[in-house]
Amino acid sequence: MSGYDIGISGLTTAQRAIDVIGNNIANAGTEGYHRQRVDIVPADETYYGDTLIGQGANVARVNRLYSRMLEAEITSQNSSLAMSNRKLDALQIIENSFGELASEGLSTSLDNYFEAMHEMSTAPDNAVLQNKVVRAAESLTYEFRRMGTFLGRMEEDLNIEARQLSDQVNDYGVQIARLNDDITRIELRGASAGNMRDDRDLLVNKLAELANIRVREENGMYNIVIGQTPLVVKTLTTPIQVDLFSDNGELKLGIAAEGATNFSPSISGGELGAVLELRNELLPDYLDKLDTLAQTIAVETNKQHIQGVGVNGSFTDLSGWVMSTQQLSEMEPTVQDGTVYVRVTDSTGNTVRHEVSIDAAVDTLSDVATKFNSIAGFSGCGVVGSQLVLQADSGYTYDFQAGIPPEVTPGGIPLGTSTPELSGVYKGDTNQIYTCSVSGTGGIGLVGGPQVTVTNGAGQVVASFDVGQGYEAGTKLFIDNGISLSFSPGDLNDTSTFTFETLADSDTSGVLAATGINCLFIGTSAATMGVKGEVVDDPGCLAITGGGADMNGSVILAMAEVGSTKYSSTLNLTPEHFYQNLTADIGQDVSGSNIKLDNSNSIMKHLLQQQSDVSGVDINIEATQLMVYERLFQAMSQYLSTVNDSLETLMMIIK
Amino acid sequence: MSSSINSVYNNTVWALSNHSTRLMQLQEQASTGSKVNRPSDAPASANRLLNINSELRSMDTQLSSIGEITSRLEMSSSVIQNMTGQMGTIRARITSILSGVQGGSTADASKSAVAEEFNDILEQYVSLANSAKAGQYLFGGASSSSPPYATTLDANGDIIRVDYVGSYDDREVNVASGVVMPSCLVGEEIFKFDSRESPQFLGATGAVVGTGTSTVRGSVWLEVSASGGGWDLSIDGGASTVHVPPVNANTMVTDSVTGRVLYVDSTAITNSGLEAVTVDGTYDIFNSLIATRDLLRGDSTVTDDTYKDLLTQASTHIDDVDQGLTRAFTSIGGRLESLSNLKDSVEDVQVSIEGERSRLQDADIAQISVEIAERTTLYEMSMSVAARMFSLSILDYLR
Repeated sequence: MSGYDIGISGLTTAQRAIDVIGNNIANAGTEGYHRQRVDIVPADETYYGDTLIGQGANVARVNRLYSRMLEAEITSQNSSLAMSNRKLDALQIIENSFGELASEGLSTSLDNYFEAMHEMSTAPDNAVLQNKVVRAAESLTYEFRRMGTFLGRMEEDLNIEARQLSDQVNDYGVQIARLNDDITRIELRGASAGNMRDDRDLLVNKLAELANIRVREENGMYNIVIGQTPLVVKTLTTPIQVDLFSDNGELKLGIAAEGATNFSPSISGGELGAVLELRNELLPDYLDKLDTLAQTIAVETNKQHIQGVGVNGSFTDLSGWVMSTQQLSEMEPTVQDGTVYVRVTDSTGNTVRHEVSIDAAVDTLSDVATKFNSIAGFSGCGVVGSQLVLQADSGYTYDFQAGIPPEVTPGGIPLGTSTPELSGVYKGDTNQIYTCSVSGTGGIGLVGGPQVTVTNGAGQVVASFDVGQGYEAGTKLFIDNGISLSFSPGDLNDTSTFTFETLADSDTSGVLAATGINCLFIGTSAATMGVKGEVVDDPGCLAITGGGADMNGSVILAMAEVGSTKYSSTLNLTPEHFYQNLTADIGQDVSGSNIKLDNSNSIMKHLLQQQSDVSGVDINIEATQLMVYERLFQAMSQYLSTVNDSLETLMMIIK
Repeated sequence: MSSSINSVYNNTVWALSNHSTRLMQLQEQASTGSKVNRPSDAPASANRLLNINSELRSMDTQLSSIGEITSRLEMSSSVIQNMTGQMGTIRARITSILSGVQGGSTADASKSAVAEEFNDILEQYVSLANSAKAGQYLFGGASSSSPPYATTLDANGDIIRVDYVGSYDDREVNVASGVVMPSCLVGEEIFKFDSRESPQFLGATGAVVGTGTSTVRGSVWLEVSASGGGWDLSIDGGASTVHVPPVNANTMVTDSVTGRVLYVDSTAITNSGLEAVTVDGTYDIFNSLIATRDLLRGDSTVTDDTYKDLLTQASTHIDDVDQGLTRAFTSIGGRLESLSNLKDSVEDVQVSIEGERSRLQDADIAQISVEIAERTTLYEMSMSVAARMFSLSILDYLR
């Protein structure tokens, strides 16, 4: 009856092949599906006498058309593509939040602020222009706060996103481990688990989109490693965790096996890789640069503002900002050993300049207040609610104007009846002590009158004058760096001397800027930057002039110059150029990521095409195969009919 | 190459995505007119574009500052021109009076009329020197919010002294990159002239100039009166006196009001009386007019010869003041010309930079239109091909 067996085997084989084709067509659009093919082999032969005759055909197995190398490459590219995609999304959001070139970004606010300062320098006592500067400063700090807060919030969002992604990774790990078990069980029974393998490969690809993984197949099971963590080993999983950890004092987001503490701040590839890179590298870099810019503008502007007065004039009381520490050594901006020069004016209009020595290592806010209280005109200074308060006594006012002192300091030998008077705005870069030496005794403007020689702190003679006959008392004699000296009528004694210290900086310690006394800007970062409330409420508090001069706008001009001065903190660039570089860098990062994404997309497209060639379901091919197996089925049916007819004929003979 | 459903789908999606992304970019460029809307659109140009935008904003401010300073200087120039215009009248009146005095025919009434006219001109000058623009005084230096010239009036309300109370400080303004200019004028530098000469004593007391460098300005009256075998000297109308022995080569006489001093050699003093002291080279528009007005009013009694000398000197002083104003006018004109050149220069650079910005940023609308048409066609073709690919199948031919 071998004829029947052969026919049945043919029919069965054709039927199985048609089933597989049907399955292929049914899954033609299924994600991750790999085309399957029946592997048909001849059935075992049987001897008929001396002749060995075949016994039909059998379906040996159903094969999944699968290229291990190609699939591995697709998994790897998936990881890279997902990382580029996620990174680009975030970078584009950051770039758009900066709003440069498309709208009025921070650069416009920076320009408006500095230009308002320049404009105000034409008429510093003009209330409208003062108000304009204060509003421009507010607008600038608003932009800083907006961007600083945005980047800070984005950092928080990335922390949350990374945790969600790690949960998803762990979930995929569990599913893959379960499929490892199922596939092994089915294949040990000799059955084909093609569809399950497809499901597992699909999960692997989804996992690769989350993080770069290394996959190794062992006895039909996948072992998967993420970073240094073996996520899946056969049927077991080791979950990963994402959490904040301290990396050399810097708080970073890291990945580690659950329960472990050896966090790694980065993994390559996948959305998780992108999130970690954004959170630990790019975002802190942008935020750091933005903070540096805000701090530089605030600190350098405050340095100038401290030394000035506005149209409201000198102060009766000033308060700093709330300090988180009382120790000067712990303050930011840093305080160093130095001197604060304060000019105190009494009710008669007499002004005296005093020095307050600061020892940064040991002094506290209270010590500073105590030192001020030791100056005539101060007794109510103190620390109130963690704020330094400098309160002048009734009838006294004070300020921190640099420049020339209100009066000269006589030496040991009496000067004479003539009084030296200083004038001008000091334009030097450093504090300087000048010494004036008188030679010859006589009357100012008289025959045989005295000569005056002026030396600077380095002992160099910077000017020498004959103030005898020919000198008109009261006439200004130019000395150095914008300052002049004049003598009233009278006489000077031979060998008498007098000195005066001109100040470029009235606070060499930086304690006023650190504690917020007479500052324009408050805050220590972009997100906390603001304009001091007193100035916002009353633009008359905006410092305009300094150096004891009239409303010449020297402080305004100096503050405006902050915009075009190069600072080491801004990498020897002006603040505006520093910011332009930052935005251009972000643009470059976006553009680079875009190019990388395009490349990954292009590579992926070709890989998918190749995958389609190997594993894709082509309906036409399947239809052709269908015709082949249909014909086989028809032929085998015909064969069986023939065998049956033969037997029937034989049976007729027997009858 | 097989054409599986997934393959056709992937290719179609890839093509449509490419075309739609590019179409969106082109649409944005067409609607904004700009081909660079964010730094990543052209990283190489972004830095320069941001810099250009900043430079252009800075130039706007510079032009505004130049305009403001120019406007102030033009108004200042106009004030000085007004003053100079009056100088001709003053000179003509003095010449007329002087001719009359020399001919012995000028009546006191005529002198008084001219004196009153000079008084009016003086008040006008003070008013002009205190001119303001938008609340900012033109000649007050850095103190531009209060009048720079203060007057002291006598009991009749006439000006007897004009003092500069403005600032001697300049106010610097950034008018171009690296160019700083003073934005205000210091009145004392415009209306005060300093080429001090030795004081001249015009009187009969016998007092002569001492050896020191006096600081009095314009005209002062030295009162000499006998006292205790010596002389009492005063230059402030007797408010303060200095007593000198009969023979003293050099005495410093101080004006208790202004603090200015006059060095007097009293060796040859023989008479009490009033000595007119004039210091050439220190006259300004105010003290020259006050001195001439007072002379014409006959406030101080002097001899005819002294009167003629003083009147002659007054004419010379007015000429000096006129020349000084002309110099100031020319100086301001020079600054205006510099500002005009600077403005032209800044505007030229502005145009050039705007051209560069346009080249870097502006979109070529014609090119964009063509590319939009091209991309639209490709987009439609991609969809059409995909539809055809999906519709064609051998299954259609199976029976």
